[in-house]
Amino acid sequence: MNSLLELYQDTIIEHSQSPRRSGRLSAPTCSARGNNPLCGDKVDLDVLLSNDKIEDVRCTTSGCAISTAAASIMAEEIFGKTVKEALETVDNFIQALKTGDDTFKDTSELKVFCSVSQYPTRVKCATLPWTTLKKALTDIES
Amino acid sequence: MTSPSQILRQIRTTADSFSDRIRLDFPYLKTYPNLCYLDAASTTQKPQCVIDAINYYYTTSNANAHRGVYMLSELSSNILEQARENIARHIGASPEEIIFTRGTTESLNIVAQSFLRSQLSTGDTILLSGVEHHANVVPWQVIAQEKNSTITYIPVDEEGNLNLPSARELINQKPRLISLTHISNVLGTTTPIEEIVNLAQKNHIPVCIDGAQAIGHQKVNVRDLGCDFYAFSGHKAYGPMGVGVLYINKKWHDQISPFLGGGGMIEEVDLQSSSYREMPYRLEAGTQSIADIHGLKVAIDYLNSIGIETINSHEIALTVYALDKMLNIPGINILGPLKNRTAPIISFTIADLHPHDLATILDSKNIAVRAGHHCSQHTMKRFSVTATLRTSFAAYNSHAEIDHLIDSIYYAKNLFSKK
Repeated sequence: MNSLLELYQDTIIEHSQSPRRSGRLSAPTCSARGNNPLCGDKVDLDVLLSNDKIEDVRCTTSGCAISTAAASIMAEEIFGKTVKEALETVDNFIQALKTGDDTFKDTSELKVFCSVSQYPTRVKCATLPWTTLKKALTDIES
Repeated sequence: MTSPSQILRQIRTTADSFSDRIRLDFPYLKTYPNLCYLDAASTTQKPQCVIDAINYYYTTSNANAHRGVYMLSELSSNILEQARENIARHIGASPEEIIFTRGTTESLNIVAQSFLRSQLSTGDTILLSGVEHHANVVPWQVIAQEKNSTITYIPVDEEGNLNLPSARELINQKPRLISLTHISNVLGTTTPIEEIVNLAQKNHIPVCIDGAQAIGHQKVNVRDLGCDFYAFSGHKAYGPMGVGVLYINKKWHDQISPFLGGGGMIEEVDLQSSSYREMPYRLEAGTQSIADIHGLKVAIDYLNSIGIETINSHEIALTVYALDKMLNIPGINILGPLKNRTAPIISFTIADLHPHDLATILDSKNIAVRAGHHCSQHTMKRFSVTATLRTSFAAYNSHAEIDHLIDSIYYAKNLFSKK
């Protein structure tokens, strides 16, 4: 598969066209807004925690297919995780995209983002929802 | 009788023989023979003569200008002043009205800091338009905040043209300065500068023009325009990056305070204070990038050797051709006017296909275009978009490149068709 088709594989396009867990929560435990000032992408994230577990999460994205799909797949991925587990996933995901290692190669939906690391200008699109999640959860922890 | 399609074919053949000839002057096409570089509004590619000019300067003339009494320094000074003279002549100014800067952004910051700042006080206004580049917004905000002044904006209509009745009204409120783009870097619309200057002069208001998008594409004459300040960059007119120009009409020269302090701009330095040199040197502290200034002079000579009107007609023909093809693309939204284009810039969006995704897909097809807000978030808000794709042309672009662009947009649409 050529790298462009790998970047825009069906799963990513499908998630970008029908993002999961989109919208806002009426009473979130924590929220954060992520901005990419260079391209204008925006993510609004609400998280509802119960006993340190992510009981609900909602993302509203205004941006490209990569950032919208990243938010959608992230929301599904972290649902039900503890704050600690979610923060670990954030760090692993960002690390994998920045270094191009294949941590997610055989596990989970996140593997569809492996090829983003070959497009350095688009890495920020894929990591925006994740850095936003980190901001929301770190606020709670502190 | 000649049919319309025969006429169109003829126009295309003539245009292609023009761009075929021009393309030989641009070495980026030797490095990347298949690259469709359609981002002239960001920066133009450089002809071999400009690249050679920089090399020539460092090979034959490198010394600090206006500092040494030796032959090489004199040679360097002559190159610097020759460039000033040629550029002044090119835009209808006098050499002492030409200040070398790092680019349009620095030029506009100089007008804000060295001219307007000392005159601005509480309650004053500065008048801009609703489609300015951030370089013609933020420098004014910096001084407006400091002096408790406000910025007002002339609104634009659906096509992006200035609303002249509003402009008249806002100018009558006597802003301290009017600063407008010559050509919008997003919409390609041209500001009716003469009309604005006419209204401004009646109210004794200085007018500053951001000429970044005009200088490489049309004849600019500051006397005809009647503006007081004119800012532009070299790199958008086939010249090197990091060098630009600020034209300041002589009548303001005694009201210009220094921008940067240092060598070359002083007359005498005492322990507590200094006296400053006459213009333009007062604004040229430190060592200038003379090789790049020489490169800019050669770029302007290059433009003139082809003829800027010839380049303009070629670019407008490409723009009309591209617009015509684009209008058939389902879901396209073209910003700015659809007819009577005067500059080779087209911004557009396509339904369900974000500009960044489209730009990445076009890149995979060897097409370089710009996606984003183009440093003009006001314009994005005015037209209710967060980002657009922008394609912009120069003398070296061809009809075949536009055909490839259009085909590739269809390819991208197909890739993104509902899964």
